[in-house]
Amino acid sequence: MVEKVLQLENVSKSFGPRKAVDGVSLTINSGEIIGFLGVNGAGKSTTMKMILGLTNLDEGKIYIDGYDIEGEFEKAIARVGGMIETPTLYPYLTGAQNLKYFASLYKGVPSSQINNVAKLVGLDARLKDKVKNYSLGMKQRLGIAQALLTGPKLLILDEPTNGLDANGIIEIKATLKNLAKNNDTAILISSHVLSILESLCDKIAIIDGGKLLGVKTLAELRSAYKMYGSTYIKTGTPNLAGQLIKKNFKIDAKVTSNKVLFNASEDKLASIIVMLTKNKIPVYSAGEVEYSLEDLFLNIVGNKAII
Amino acid sequence: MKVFRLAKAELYKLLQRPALYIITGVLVIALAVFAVFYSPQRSTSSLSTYTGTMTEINTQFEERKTRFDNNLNQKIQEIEENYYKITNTTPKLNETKNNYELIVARQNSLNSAVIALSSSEDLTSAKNALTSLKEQILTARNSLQSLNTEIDFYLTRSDYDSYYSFLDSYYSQIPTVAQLTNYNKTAIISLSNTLSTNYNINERAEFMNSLKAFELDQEEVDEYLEKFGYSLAYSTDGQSVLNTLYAEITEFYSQNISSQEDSVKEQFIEKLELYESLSLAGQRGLDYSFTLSITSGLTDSYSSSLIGFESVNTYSLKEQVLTYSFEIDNLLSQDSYSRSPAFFSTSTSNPTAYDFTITAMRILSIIIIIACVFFASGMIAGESSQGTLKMLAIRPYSRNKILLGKFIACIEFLLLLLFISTLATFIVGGCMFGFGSAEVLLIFNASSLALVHPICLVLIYMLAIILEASFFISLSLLASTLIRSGTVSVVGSFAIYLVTLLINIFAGSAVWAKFLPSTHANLYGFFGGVSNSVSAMGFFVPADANFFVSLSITLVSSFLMLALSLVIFRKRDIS
Repeated sequence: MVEKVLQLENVSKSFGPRKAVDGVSLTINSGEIIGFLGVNGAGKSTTMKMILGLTNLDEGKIYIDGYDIEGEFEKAIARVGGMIETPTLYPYLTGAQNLKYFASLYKGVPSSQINNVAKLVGLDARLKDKVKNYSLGMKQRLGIAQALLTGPKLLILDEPTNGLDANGIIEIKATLKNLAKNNDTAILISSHVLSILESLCDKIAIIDGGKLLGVKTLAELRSAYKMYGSTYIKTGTPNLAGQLIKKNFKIDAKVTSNKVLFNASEDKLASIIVMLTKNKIPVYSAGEVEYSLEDLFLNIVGNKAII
Repeated sequence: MKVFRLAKAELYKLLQRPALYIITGVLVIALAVFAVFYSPQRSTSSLSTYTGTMTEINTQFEERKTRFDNNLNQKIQEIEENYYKITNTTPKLNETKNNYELIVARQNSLNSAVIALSSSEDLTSAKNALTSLKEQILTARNSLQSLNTEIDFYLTRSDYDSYYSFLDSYYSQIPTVAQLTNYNKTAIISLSNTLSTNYNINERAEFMNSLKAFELDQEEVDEYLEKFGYSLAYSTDGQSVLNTLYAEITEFYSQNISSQEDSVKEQFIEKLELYESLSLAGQRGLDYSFTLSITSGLTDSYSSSLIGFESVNTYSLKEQVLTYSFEIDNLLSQDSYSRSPAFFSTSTSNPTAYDFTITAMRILSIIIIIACVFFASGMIAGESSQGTLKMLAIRPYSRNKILLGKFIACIEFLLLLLFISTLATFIVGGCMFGFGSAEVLLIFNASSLALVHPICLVLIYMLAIILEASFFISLSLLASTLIRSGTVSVVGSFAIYLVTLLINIFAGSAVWAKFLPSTHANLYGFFGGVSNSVSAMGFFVPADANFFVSLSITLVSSFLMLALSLVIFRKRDIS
């Protein structure tokens, strides 16, 4: 059964005159993984801190599993595992001691759970080392491990893949997917490595300037951008190339930083390349567009377009 | 209780801190160094020593006895005289006020005479007025001077000096009769104007009104004259404590006159010491009781500013009067029982594990409180700077529970450190001096006393340390919630404790210090250690002290600081 695990209703927060979060509403269902996207200072961290009760709300309501984060903080937060920014753990404790400390804050977390979560994030071999000797990736794994200790209904992960190696990223992604699928855990995850979100998330929520621009599946985002064309040419002078294409072939073309986008058949593309070459415009590459999340994100945020 | 689960987790974390090794090391080194250098002095013995055969000892005593008896009898006489003087203060008071009124009157008649000069050339009446004013000022000044050396009425040194120099200077500014013969009309008018601007006697009216006679409760004076004087003093007729004791001494002497045994001599000397000790107790009891009854109802600082008194410490006087009364009631010599140990001094010749423990804990408690201040001041600010606070704040604990949990963890840490240190110190002290168990005189709040087992003092001292440390833990937690930077919070709290410590060591009993809540946090002084303390590290009580006032101040201020931290922490965003 699908339940609403996290609900944000018109949440706002200002720091002085600056509105960090402005009327954000968002719902996450059980088993759903939502990627949270935004440039630095867009309001990602502030939103996540409000969900975790670290920052007070100016306006709006946040419910976790039906409990108001402000009114019934203890009940609401008991259902959440969280990790905000770089995980800050106690450097003078070992990994196991850190986990033991966090576990001891909850009633009825068995000590076997410490090893379970350590295994999940691939930390079991380093558990007896002091955290001050950990690499950033190791700390990141420990940070995720502590969030998983209680088997939470909702996971809030801020940049969880920072400092992880490729192997680590694959492992963590698999773990998170597994949790969503088998435990029905709802996950809100932010990352600046968009390719990670791309292969992990069911939906992407994009926030910019404190406002939530939309929550869409990746497919929805892609189709929204199809209108700019599915063929591309990469060139050193995209503006000039775009003008020539428009003039000579009477088709609509969109110019990005180093590409020209348009709709054309393979034959037409060949003619365009010939035309450009004649005009002494170097073509680096050309072909069918595979929109990555990164492209979409940059376009959306760059143009402030309504998705 | 949830908050205790958090406290347990916090304590677990605290006990893993690397700084704990340093603290333990410092405690161990401090104890070791202390054990090596501990050689307490005997603080109170002021009694004469006796040597030789029984006959020689008796001769030494007989020589001194006259002095003992004379001293006590002189003291009785002095108190009686002072008492008589005080009951006859009113004439002196009236004389002073009368002199003042006369100066005012003569000044007025001088003014009228000078006004009359405007329509007359006769200078006689103005000159006469000046001369009689000068005479009156001299009378007033001499009368005031005769007050100087004796107790007459409440007159502070500064008021006295100010009035005296006013009169003296006024007197010298008025010319003598011989000098006046050279004055013409203009000179007299100008002189009179100068005098009335520079010496306005009416400005002294307030001072005159403030003069009051000493108040003595006759019953009270009779009571201590009886207790420390008449019932005690030796006289050739009648029954008194010293009479009876002297009879015992003579009888013991005549029975053992030729004895060579040390034990007999010791027994004899004990009696002689008791005689001297009781005589001293009588003298001092009378002295201190008299000061107390004259200054009752006044603050210590005001009493100390009065002519004839210096540095009155009411609390210490009361404590000592109580002790002398105890000695006389129980016929005890001052060296024959133990008192609350002070720093590096004991009241009996052999220190015990208890003396050692209390003195050593005086040092170790400072290290323990510094450790508590160090951890408590970093609990919020330090974790906030490091970022670990947000990892704690996203657990199912309200902000109130987080702060209280941390407070409880600090208290548990304090108890742990305190119990281990005290136990270790006690064992070390026991190995060095043995666990003597002679009862100790405990004087509580300068109002009641009892002989108790010395372990009571150690336990009371531990409680006092717990209260003092709790005060500083609350203070450090408050600093920790107010200040964002961990380093600033730790350094700031540490500095506050250090300044407090220095104030307590060097100026704990100063009048201004009583307005600091931290001065009241050290409560052990209220258990009999004050009049016994000689060194700066000894125990003290604040000026105009009372145990219950100090206890309330400590508890209320600790509670308020904790409540304030709760309010601040609850409203705070954690970044």
